[in-house]
Amino acid sequence: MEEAIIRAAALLSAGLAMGLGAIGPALGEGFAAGKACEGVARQPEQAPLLTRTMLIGQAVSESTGIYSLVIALLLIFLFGRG
Amino acid sequence: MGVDWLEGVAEGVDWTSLTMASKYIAGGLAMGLGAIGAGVGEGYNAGQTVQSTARQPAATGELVRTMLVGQAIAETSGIFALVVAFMLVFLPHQPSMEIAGALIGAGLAMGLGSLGSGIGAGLAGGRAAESIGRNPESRGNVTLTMLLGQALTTSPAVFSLMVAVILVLGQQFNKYLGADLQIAVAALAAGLCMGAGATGPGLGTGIAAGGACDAAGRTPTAGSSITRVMLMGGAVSQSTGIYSFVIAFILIFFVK
Repeated sequence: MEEAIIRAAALLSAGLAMGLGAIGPALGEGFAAGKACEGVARQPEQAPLLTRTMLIGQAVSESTGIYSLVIALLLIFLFGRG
Repeated sequence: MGVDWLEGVAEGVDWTSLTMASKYIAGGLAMGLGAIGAGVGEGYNAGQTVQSTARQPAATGELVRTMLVGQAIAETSGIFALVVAFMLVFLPHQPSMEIAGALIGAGLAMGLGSLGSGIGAGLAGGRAAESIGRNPESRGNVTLTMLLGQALTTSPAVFSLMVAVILVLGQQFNKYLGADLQIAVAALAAGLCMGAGATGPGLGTGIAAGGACDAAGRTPTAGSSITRVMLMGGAVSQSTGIYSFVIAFILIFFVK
């Protein structure tokens, strides 16, 4: 039973890690995309440059989301399987 | 001092009443949380439409039409929550601890999952209304951008619906008989993961779509470029929602 509680805790925290960790990067990336669209309205010829800059910035913002994914997978497969 | 008392409790508990309690709690969670997103988003849309109508009274008919379309798309997140709430409350469920955990997980998945999509879709519609009020000739472009953006914004709610339906209707929990705490908690965690994880992408894609609607109103000739940037940026924003979906899937199907 102790093992079941430990496994249950690891699985619950995997869900929390990925669930809460998905919020921030998505919000930030959406904000960047919105500003990129407004930039394209101001200078439509510069659309490729704006797109490139947006994608670079979004990739950096994604990093903590990747960390969450790694921690969630670690928790499930190392500690959630008993 | 071990946890034998917990084992004693587990043997003595009446799983039928626990399962029924959990299905009602889950139904309430699903609909209570699920009503927030659509309500807030549609209200924001309505407010921006009224403001635009004050700016351009002659365009009232078009503005209200666009508002109703945008509000209908924001409403779909709330309808998903209603459907899941009905399924939770009225379908019969096999009594066990694992099923109880799965039902609460389903309620959390759909309740939390419709939050971001509802607010995001409403945000996009509101900024579209603002944009049309500023530049009524751009109505066609702005409405098209708004519809595309809102469709992308609603997709996290669709993932949440899928996870909720799998948790409610799936047969994989029927083989457990109430002795596996980790399976029950894994099912609950799957719902929590998908529900919370759908909030960010829904909101973020809604912000992106709002910016695109604003841009389409300012420069309607650049409409296709703007839509392209919105879809690309919005797709990147969806990525963490996909990760949440994958983790929820693993928690449901690959935990023994």
